[in-house]
Amino acid sequence: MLFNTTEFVLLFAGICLIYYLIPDRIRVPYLLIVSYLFYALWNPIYLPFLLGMTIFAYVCGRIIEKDSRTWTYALVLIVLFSPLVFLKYYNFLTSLAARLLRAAGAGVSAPKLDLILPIGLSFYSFMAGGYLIDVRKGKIRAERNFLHFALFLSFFPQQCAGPIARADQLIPQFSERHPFSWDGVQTGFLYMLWGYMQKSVIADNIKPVVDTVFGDIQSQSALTLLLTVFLYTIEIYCDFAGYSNIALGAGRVMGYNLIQNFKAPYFAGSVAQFWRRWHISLTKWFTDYLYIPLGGSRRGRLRQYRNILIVFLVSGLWHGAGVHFVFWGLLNGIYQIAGKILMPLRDRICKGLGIERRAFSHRLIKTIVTFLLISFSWIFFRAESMTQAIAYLKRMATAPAVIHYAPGIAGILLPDISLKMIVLLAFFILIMAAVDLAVYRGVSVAEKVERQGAWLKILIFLFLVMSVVIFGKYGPRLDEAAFIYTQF
Amino acid sequence: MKAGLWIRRLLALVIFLALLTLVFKGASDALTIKNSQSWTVRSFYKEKKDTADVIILGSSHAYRSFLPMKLWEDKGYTSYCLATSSQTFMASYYLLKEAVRTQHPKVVVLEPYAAWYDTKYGAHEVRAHAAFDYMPLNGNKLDLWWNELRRDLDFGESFSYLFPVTLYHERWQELKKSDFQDTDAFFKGAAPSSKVSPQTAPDASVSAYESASASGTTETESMEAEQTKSERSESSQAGSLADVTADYLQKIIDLCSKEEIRLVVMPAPMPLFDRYEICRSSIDAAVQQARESGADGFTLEEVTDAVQPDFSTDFYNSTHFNLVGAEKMTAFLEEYLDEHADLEDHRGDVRYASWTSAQNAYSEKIVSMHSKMGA
Repeated sequence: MLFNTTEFVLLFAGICLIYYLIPDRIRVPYLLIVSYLFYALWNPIYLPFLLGMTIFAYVCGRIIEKDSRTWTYALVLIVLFSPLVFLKYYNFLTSLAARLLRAAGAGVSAPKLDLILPIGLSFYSFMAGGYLIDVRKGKIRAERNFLHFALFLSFFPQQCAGPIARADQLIPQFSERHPFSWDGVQTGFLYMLWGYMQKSVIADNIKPVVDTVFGDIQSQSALTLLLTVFLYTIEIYCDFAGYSNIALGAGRVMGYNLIQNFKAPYFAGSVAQFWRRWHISLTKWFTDYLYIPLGGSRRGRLRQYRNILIVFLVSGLWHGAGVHFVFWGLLNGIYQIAGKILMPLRDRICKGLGIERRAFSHRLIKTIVTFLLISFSWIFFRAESMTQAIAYLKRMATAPAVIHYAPGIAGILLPDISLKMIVLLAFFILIMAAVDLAVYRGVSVAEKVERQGAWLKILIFLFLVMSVVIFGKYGPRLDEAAFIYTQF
Repeated sequence: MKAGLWIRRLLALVIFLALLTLVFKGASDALTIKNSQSWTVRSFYKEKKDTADVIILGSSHAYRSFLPMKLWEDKGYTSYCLATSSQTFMASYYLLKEAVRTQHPKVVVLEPYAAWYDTKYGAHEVRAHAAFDYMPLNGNKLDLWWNELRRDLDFGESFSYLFPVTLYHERWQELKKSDFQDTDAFFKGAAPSSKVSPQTAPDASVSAYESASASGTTETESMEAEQTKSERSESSQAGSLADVTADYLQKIIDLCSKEEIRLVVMPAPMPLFDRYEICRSSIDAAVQQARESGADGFTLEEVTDAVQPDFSTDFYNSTHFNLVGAEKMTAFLEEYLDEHADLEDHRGDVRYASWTSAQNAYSEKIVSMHSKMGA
């Protein structure tokens, strides 16, 4: 069930109420039932995948804890990831292979299968994989309590789009008592409202414009195409960070601490820093379970660059089965390698020109350059294919600078948007930027709000609730505006 | 934890919820779409308790045909036309439930054009919004939601009846000054038209309706007619009511009986048009059901014979009366009330100031409409 539905809001309120009314000892089974019901609401046919993976990972965790043979461990991981690889990548890989064979002169065609892809499969496969690797490494003990393990993989706030929880971080919380905490509930709702604001007010109001532009690239002006790149940069962030904040808040309301998945990524001063602040749980997963096992930065520069490229290639594939996703991943890897290669040169330039690296102006330029690089890479992420992404760039270079879509300023900037909507979006984006700047500087905004007097807190909550109610995109007129990351 | 801290926190929560309710209500009122029908329902709640002696229910045929202020002007009877576009008997039933919560009418007039509908929601669900959007969130609305909307509609859609702001919130971009003001409520729910469109009398040959002009039909009404036409299932039998329609008619009859209200089913005459026969036979069936249950009722022919409309001057489109037709129809209702209901003349009574204060604006408007029609 999507977070941005009335049903979820009402159900969540009911779930929390019951959660705090029932005794501690039955809360885990209760949350497990709720989580499986939530998952079944997507499509009951997904349930066997979640349950099957849970049983498999639970049993294998116990086995590989005792069986140190490498082939057992390898086999377990192959079997674990095979549903994801098959369901998500079969059609992509076979069509890619067929294209390559055709290019080599062989007349083959790829049989396309109509496969279902259970929601959240990428997320809980990675959680189960991470758990098994940690068990194998001896970092954690295999979980004995099946209910705790099943809840770890299915916990409803994070079941469809993460964050990708770690067993050592989440499972112990299921054994702890979670008495009602006024502050915890308040902070949880604050995160949820902030997430709803990001998702419903910003991302979902931007979405129609971005969809229109990407749907008809050849009719757009260069200015529109450029603005749309930045709009999508905001949309993807608000969509995913919005989801993560709702998940984080929902967990916090019930007393659970989930991983904070975003920390002001667009204020990062380099692409490498950006990835330490964007989808943190995934970046950390790749770092711990792929980059470091590949050797990380320990075996020389070239090996490090190769490892970065592998990680981002896999990251691109994780996000979607498409050449444009692979390119997007590689581009981010290339950015980082280029950053490392050019570091001595940049240092020399700074030294030669007497630029203080810590100066505000220098940091601002770095942030802006990083933002531009990341925004550029999103073109490949948003496009439906590599061909479309190239068409977008070509059109941006050759289109008339400005087209009058409609009378007025808004009609020059973007299609299908009013000036009022532009002003509204600018207002909320500025608020979000101010909060993110504080987060970037290490301020815990939620804690700050918690320490304020009752009146100010009341006003903040009122502002957020009414912003979502009035300016959010939801309700019967809205077609299911799914969170972008639930597709991965 | 100290009890004082909990009390302060609970107090803050109560203040937050109270402020949220206020702001939410204000935003909802401003954003909810305004049209003549939804204003009709909203304005109804502004009438003083226990002042309306007659409540008129029904679809556009009711608000085009009955003039509450004429009843006041002529006889001093206080009435309110709680009619909305495409109002089905289900909507009429819940509006009646709501009406009797604040008023104790002596007579309820049901215009039965909706008798030929075979759905609870009429031409389009959006039409049902006009009837229910301004109904406050009370027991009746929860009853409506729980027993009807929740079962019939998608959850989000049904929820939007409880909290209309969830449907209309995107209107923030189109808000105008008028969204924050009350409109003139001097018609007491009626919406007469000054347009004149010659029509064909129903006793003419059946094919003659094709030559009848549909000019003057509002976009809403023509859309409503088309949609309704397509939604009427083929299985519906002329001369009988669809089960859902008969059920809610019976509920209206039973509620009136329980509240000791005189119910009269009174159709407004219609010219010959493509659905005339099915409408007539359905209306007759509704009248028969009402009579069998002890209520009063007039068939379409009976009213047409009594009112004697001039089909060349008294209609504004192929199915609705204009002002002249509405005056004739209201005169017929007046006669009925004189004969069957023991209503008092409230003119001069300060308790009924709402009707007194509407008098001047109403008279001026009627004079200007007549002069426009005569021009």
